[in-house]
Amino acid sequence: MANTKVEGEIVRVAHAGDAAGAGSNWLEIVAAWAVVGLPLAWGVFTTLKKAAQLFQ
Amino acid sequence: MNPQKGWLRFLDRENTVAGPGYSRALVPPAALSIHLAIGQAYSLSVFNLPLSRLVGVTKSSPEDWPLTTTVWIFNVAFIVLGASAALFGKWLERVGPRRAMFVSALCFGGGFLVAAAGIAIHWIPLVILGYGVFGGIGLGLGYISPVSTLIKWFPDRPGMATGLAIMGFGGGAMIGAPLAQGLMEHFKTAQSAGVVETFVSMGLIYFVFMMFGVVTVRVPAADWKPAGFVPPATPRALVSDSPVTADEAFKTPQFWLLWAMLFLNVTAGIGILSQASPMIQEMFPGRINAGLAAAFVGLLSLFNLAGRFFWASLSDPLGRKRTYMVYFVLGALLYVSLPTTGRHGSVPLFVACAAVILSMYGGGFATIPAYLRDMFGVFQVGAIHGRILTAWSAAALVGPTLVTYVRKAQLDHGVPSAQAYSVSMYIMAGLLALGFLCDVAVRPVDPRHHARNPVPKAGAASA
Repeated sequence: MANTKVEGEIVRVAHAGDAAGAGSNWLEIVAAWAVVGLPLAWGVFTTLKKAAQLFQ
Repeated sequence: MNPQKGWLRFLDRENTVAGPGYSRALVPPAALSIHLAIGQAYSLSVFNLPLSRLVGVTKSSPEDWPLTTTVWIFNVAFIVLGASAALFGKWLERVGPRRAMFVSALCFGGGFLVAAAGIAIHWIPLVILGYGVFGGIGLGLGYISPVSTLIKWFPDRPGMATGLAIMGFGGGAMIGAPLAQGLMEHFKTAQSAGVVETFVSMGLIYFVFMMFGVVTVRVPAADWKPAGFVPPATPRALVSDSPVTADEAFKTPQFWLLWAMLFLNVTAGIGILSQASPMIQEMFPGRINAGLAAAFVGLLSLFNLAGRFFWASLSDPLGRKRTYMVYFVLGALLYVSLPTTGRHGSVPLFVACAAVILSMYGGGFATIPAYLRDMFGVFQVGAIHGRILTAWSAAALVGPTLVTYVRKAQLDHGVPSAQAYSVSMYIMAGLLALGFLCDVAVRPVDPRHHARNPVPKAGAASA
C-alpha cells in the first residue's frame, strides 16, 4: 500500500487490480454487468421486435 | 463527529480511491448505470400525447396543454444539459465522480418528482422546473461524471471505455420508452392516464438505479497502471500526455476545431433523427405507414447505440483523427445518396444508409472524449468534455430547425413532398464536408498551453 498526500492529509491508497485477477470477485463483476446488461438487453430486444416489422 | 458529515464523507474523492482487489471491469457498469438512466431523456416523447390529454383523458380538451407547450420540457432539459455540463465540469474534477454522480441522481430522480407535482396540479412551469431544469442538471452532470474516470482506468483503450459508457445514453431510450408505456398502462384509470404515478415511479426507479453507479465507482490510485501496460515510446502524432487546464484549452484553436466538428456531426445526425418518422413516410408514400415509421426510428436508435461502441472502439487502433475523417467522408457520401435511394423507391437501401449515418452520429459523441484526452491530456478532460458539449445543445437547436425550414421552403416552391428533403440532405453533406476540413486542420496543442505544475488530487490527478 502506498501513501498519498491529499489536500493536507495523508490518505492510504491501495493499488487496484487490473482485470478480474488480483483478488477481485468474479461474482461481483458478473452481478454488476447483469444489473446494467439485463435492462439494456430487454430494451434492445423490445426495439428489435418492433424494427422487425420493417423487413416483413 | 457530525453523523451527517460522516455519511457524506462516503462521497469524498479520497474515499473513492480503489482498494486492493478492485477490478477495473466494475467501472463500466457503474458508468453505464448513470448513462442508461439519463438516456431516458431521448424517450420523453412517449409522454407527449398523455401530457396533452391530462384533463380530457381520452382526447385533448381546451384546458389541456398543446404539444407546442409540452415540447419545452424537452427543449429546456437539453439546453440545461449543455449549460450544466459546461459549468460543473471543473467542480466534478475537484470533487470526484462519486459526489457528481450522487448529485446527478438526486437532480434527475428528484426532477421527476417535482415534475409529477406539476402534472398533478396541472401547472406547466413546475413541470419544466422539475424535468427541464433539475432533470437537465442531472443529465449534464451525469453525462460527464464517469468519462474522465473511465479514461484513467483504461489508458490502453480510452475510446472503447468511453464508448461503452456513452453507448448507455443511446440505450436509455430503449429502456425508458417501454418502461414509461408499461407503467402508464399499469396506473391508468377511467379518470387518469396514470402520468403522475408513472413520473413518481420513474423518479424512484432511476434514483435507485443510479445509486448503483454511485456506490460502485472508484478512481484509480495516482500511480496505477493496467498490468503489463507500457505507454508507447513514441506516441501517435496527435496524442499528448502534457496536461492542459480546462481554462487554457478554451484558448486553443484545437478546442474550437473539435467543438465545430462535434457541432457539425451532431447537426447532420440530429437533422435526420428528429424528422425520421415523417421523412420516411413522405419519401415512400403508400409504402411506409406510421407503424413502420416507428420501427424505422427504433432501428435508428439501435444503430445510434451500436455506433457509439463500435466507432469509439475502432478509434483506439485507427486514431481519432482518421475515425472522424471516416464519419465526415462516409457520412457526406451517404447523405448525398439518400435522395437517390428515395427516387429509386428502395426502402432497404434508404434504411441502410440512414442507419450507418446514425451509427456515426453516435460514434461522434463517443469518440470526442478520447480525442480531447489525446489533445489535452487526462488532467481536466472531464471539464473540457463538459464545455465541448455546448456544441450538442447548439446542434440540437440548429439541426431540426434547418431541416424543418428547408422542407417548408421546398414545399412552398411546389416541390413534391417525396423530394422535399433532398436539399436538406445536400446541406447536411456540405456540413460534413466542412467538418472534414476542421478535422484536417487539427494539429498538436502548442506547448505554451501546457500546465506547468498541475495540482495532484487523490487518486489519479482528477476525477
